[in-house]
Amino acid sequence: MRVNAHPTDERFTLHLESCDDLTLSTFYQMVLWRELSLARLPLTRLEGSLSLVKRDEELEGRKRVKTYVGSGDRGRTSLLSGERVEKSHGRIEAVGDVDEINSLLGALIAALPERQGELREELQGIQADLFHVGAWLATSPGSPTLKMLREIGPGHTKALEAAIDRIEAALPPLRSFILPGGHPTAAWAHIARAVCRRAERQVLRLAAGETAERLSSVIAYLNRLSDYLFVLARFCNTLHGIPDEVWQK
Amino acid sequence: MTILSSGNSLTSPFTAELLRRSWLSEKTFELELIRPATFQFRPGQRIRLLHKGAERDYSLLSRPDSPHLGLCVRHLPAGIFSSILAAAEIGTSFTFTGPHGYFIFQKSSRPPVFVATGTGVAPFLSMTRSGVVGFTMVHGVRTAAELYYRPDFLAAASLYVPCLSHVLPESVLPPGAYCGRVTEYLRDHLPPGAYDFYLCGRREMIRDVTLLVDERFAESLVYAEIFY
Repeated sequence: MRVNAHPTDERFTLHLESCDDLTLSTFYQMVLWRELSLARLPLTRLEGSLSLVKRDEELEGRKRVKTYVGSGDRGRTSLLSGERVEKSHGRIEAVGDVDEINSLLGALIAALPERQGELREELQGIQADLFHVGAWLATSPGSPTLKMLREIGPGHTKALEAAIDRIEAALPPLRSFILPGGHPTAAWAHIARAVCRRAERQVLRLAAGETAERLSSVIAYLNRLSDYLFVLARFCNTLHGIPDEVWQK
Repeated sequence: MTILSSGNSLTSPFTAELLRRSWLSEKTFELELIRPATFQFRPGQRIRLLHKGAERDYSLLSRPDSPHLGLCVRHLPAGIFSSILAAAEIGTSFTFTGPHGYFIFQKSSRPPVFVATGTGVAPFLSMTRSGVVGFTMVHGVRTAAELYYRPDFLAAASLYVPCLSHVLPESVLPPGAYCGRVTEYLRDHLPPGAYDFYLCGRREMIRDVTLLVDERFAESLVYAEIFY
């Protein structure tokens, strides 16, 4: 059975004819099923065309992440705690900075050599933690939503310190300022570090307006993450046999 | 090398057996799975069913202390997953992860307004069954046959408004029905004020209601759960 669906103005016309070729776009599949449903055609007539729907995931009645919704088209967005705020709001700025760190880590991971599987996993763990950091930042003080969030606590910062110590043990001692750069993975790490400092500054501004110290763990985490990204940049250069470029005063 | 974090927050999968399937309308059915003893959730959360590489999220209908997990599924003939669920034998085991999501009822001084389209009532039923009362419920559907769980909402809501978008001259309207979309009802009939809006349904509805909130109910909070 072959099905051709032709949109004409706002209506659609179906033509069914015998053929084994069943190639239809999802759009046309949707049209097909809608029209057949309206026409109440017996399913037996469709037995030869069941492969039409195998590729179709657009019609499933399920929740899914859509790239666009459109509720932010006028410059406002929702915090996790429900408030509608301008997209230039300090919380959104902070969330955006953390998102930027996360994306830069993604670029770094993508450029890592295959053999660095454990480092990749470590960085992906940090990426996951940054989602939780973002959730904290996107939630107002006092919101009941806070109780649902996974805490970024001293344990996360301690883990970063342990990683810094481990990486530094494999590096030559540092006695001067170094220029950001070298291997592309190191360059990504340096950019992530600089953005991490920006995020830290933004979170400090947020924290200044709050009475509770609920952001103190996040601030400590970002502070230590910047240090981690610095030693990581040096480690990435070492991995590729590139020496630190010392700043010539 | 020590791995820094516990990694992605993927939960270990659970397995649940299909106990019952009841058709709520021509195209929509409720599934009941036997809740694994270790699975905990909060009203409004969802699970992710996994099957042969595909995955679908469904909000839970049940109370957290229920021995069953209820799902409300709209069956589309072209929908791979809903077709599997519609045809699955009783006793079939399904794998799922969860609970997922932050769509939880939050007590506040603002009146809650639940807005759903179609099977988007599911998380609100879980909240209602868990004791949430006194809310305004606006349920948008095409026809009255799709007003799932109406008695539950009538009993718990301070105001229950079915919004029917496809009303024929011969249609028999349920009491209190509004002919039109949920956005039109909210725009024309919800008094000005600050509310806690909980939106669950199609993204077009989420977008339209959110923009309306920005325009007319600016001091309100918006919690949204989007689905196709």
